[in-house]
Amino acid sequence: MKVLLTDDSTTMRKIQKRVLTSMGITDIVEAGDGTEAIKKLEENNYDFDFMLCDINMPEMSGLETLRKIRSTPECAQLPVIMCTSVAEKEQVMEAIKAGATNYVVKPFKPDDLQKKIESVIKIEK
Amino acid sequence: MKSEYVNPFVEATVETFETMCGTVPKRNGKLEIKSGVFKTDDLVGIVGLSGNVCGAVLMAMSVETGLKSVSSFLGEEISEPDSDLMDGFGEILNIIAGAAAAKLSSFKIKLALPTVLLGQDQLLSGKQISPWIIIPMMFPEWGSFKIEVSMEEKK
Amino acid sequence: MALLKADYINHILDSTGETLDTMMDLKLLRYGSLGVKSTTFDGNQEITSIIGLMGKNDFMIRLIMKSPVTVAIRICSEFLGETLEELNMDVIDAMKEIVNIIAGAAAAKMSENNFLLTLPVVLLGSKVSYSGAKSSSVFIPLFVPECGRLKLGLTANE
Repeated sequence: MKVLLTDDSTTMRKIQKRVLTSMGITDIVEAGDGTEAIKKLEENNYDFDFMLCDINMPEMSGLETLRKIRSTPECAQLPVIMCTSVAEKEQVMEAIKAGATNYVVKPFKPDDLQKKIESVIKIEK
Repeated sequence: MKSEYVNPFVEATVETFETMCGTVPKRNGKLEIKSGVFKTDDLVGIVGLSGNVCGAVLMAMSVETGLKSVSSFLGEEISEPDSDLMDGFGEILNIIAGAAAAKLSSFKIKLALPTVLLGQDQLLSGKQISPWIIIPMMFPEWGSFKIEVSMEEKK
Repeated sequence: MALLKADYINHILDSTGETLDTMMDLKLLRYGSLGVKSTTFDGNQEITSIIGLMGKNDFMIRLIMKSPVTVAIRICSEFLGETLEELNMDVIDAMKEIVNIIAGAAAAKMSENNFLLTLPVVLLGSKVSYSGAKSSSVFIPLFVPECGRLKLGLTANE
């Protein structure tokens, strides 16, 4: 299981990484913004099982990143869980329209994130 | 943050001090870019920026320089750090930020409430992704100060 | 300047409590009465996180979270799920993220204001006092068992 973890906050990446590790997922590639995420996708030949992506990021936002992913044939089907703060509920709607597989709202309990990840992995299987 | 955003802040600072305090500050050395934790002065004012950007502008100087510039701004002598110093300092920074925002009108910048902190050995932290651009400035008669800007464009 | 409505104070306190509870499994307790002046935590190096919520019609709330560095280290250890021994960039980033989440959650509770958040700023220093224009401010002393005391400072400008 290989994951692309995209968040501009190193803190949030750490927290999400802890959840992933506790689920036995250790093959984690990190990106600090959308541009870097796209680069990491290319570098890894789009070989990821799913992606966690923050919505509110500088330079290329999570939504823009998601749209780019969906319009790239190699990763158009990649399951993507968007991570957002509650203030951005409209953005959640936009994310779903843009093709998000699922989303998680901050603040979240580690269990919540784990459930969202499990749901996405299940879809994929 | 793009370097072309620096000039509006410099111009706004010069104009504000020239108009409100009757002094013309000058640039004092090269721009510095800082992330991580770095030292700042004892008197620090912060105004958050929002709108089509997410950021903050800071003004930092020694208490001594702050007393002189705020005294001149208020037109009355302030001899020691008190709420007048902090309110006046926040007000000056608010005017600078407002003037800079007007110059960067395409971003529709909104200003947050100014916060002024007075402390000892203050350190400021930057984010790796959006580091602070430090603009060293100097009053001809009162000493040096810094304008510090961190700004991300929202897309 | 309008007074800071009790509603806003409560929404922000609730968001703070929920964030600590959800993400760190910590409880937030009130400790003493509200104050209008910022007092310092004597003799301690302090960490101050500042974020602005900017709403429509120029309504703004400024949220300040301030605590001794030792308290922040304990809270961040819970947040990150690893024992942090000293002040480092992890603590500072985590403090930014915590106020960001609190402000985001509070903004959602007051969605009629369409709040946007500013970039959180973290400052370290000792004997830090602060002032923010001539608006209404309130300081709320809080206590997190096993971590220690902290203070929320709120200022509104409607």
